Amino acid sequence: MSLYWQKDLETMPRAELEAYQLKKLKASMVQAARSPFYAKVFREKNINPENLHSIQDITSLPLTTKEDLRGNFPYGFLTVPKNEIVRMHCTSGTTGNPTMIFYNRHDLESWSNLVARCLFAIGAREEDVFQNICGYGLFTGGLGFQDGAEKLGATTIPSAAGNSVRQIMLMRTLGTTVIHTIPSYLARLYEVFVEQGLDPRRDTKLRLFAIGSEPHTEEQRRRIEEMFGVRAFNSFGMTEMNGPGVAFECECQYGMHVWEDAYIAEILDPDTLEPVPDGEMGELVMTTIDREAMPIIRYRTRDLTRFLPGECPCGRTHRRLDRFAGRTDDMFIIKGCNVFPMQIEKILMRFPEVSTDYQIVLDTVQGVDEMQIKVEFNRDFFTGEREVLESLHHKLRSAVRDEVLVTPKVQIVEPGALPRAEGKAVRVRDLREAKKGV
Amino acid sequence: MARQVSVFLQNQPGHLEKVTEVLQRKLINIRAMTLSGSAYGWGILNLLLNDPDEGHKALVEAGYSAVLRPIIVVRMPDRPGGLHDLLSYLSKGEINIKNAYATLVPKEGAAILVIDAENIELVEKLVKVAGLTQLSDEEIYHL
Repeated sequence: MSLYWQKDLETMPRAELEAYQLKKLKASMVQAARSPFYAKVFREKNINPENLHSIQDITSLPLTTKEDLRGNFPYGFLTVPKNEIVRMHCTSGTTGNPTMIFYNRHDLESWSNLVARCLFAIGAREEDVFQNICGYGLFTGGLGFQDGAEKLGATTIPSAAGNSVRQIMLMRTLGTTVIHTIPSYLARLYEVFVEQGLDPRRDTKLRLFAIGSEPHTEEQRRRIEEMFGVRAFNSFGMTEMNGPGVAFECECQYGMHVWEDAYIAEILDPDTLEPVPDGEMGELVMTTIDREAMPIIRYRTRDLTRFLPGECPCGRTHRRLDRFAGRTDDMFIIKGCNVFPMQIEKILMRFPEVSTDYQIVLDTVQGVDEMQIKVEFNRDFFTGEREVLESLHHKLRSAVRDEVLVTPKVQIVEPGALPRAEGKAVRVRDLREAKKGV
Repeated sequence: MARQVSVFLQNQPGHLEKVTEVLQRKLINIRAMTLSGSAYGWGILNLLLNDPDEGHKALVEAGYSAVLRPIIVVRMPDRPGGLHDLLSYLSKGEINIKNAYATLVPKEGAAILVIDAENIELVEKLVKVAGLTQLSDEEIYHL
């Protein structure tokens, strides 16, 4: 049985792959120049695809930001007549115009092929029963995985988000083997299994999870795998780059292969905007090279990650992105210290006494900023003795302080007390006065 | 062995009331209770119930962290020094009481002390030596 969905592309030698990327990049620039936005930018900056001689020359091209996408809403990036568009998706747009992406037939075909390739890489096959537990509609995770799983040939269950009891009924009735969802939902789903007196290890045929669209730690993944007896694979996608299927873990579960025949990934120093060497952290910048209706060149994702150096034992030559360390705009500053929520999560996951849900609340109390960490107590560890809880409280407080240099106010709360989001879990709430004034 | 139900609770308005609501719905009667807070925003509720197994089950189903803990309930004469006599025997046995609470049982003219300690078997022996009696499970749950 083949290990690859598209062996030639997935295992193409680096030199050949880079030549392929250069050719596709040039074609993509010609296409991009048909959009009002890039036509203007290329003219003003005197950009010509013929001046690119190697893939490294991409650094001479201008960067595109989220503000550019919003500022040219909705059609400023469109390169084809509107009647050629067959689909659109968009981000939630909680802070301004949503980011809207348009697809023609070629784009949908290319996208679903990449998602099928991801699912194949984690071991899913046409014999599998695939249940897609995430929002359909404008969110790309619904239809994106739906189309990809259909292309793979799996039996697909478009069960969408919510109603955990029905989700469990569907997976038991139809013998679901593969699930795509967000990691925080799996903790909730497990609770419902337990409430119903079921054990997913015994009472389901689940074997693979694709999890993504929400940052999570290695510790959280291991915990999910342990709970369900299922291997969980990290997935990366973003609406601006189609949606899911941009980068995915293979069976080695060590880094996400970014599909370099469809995207060019760069890691830049967020301050100097110069490329950093492989292995060093920086901001991920992405270019589409297989999209017609709405090509995007050098998009600043604000996500912090790095390329994992070396080759992957799976044989794929496409480089691997490390687990995301957070977003440049997720970081918060408290008492002069820079803190990423993922740093806190990593520590919390070391303690089996707390559940996978947590919340960080930043607040001003009597004029002083403080960081509260709310964690749910895992009821399996409750003995009725206060010493156990007090000791956990102190251990959590000092573990966080040692890592981020700020002493948090730890609050252990009852199981189920933290809000369960239907979409991405809200991990940080900033209620500080200084913030309110802005 | 008799048991009490211990529940983890956030120290917030209405949280205790939700516990009593769960018990009321299952027609479970509370014989005695204590609630002790901590400095960290939570507390532990200890409940002596007429049916600890059902009470525990109802609370776990309602989503609480609740456990059954073994206890011993001792009958004391309701007079000055009654508790002191009992404790003098327990301290001789080096018993460390984790948690205890007392209540009056007017119909018997006696008081009872609920004791949660590490070495329950030893407490039982010491109670006998002190010439006091321990309540049977039946007596406790039907106080």
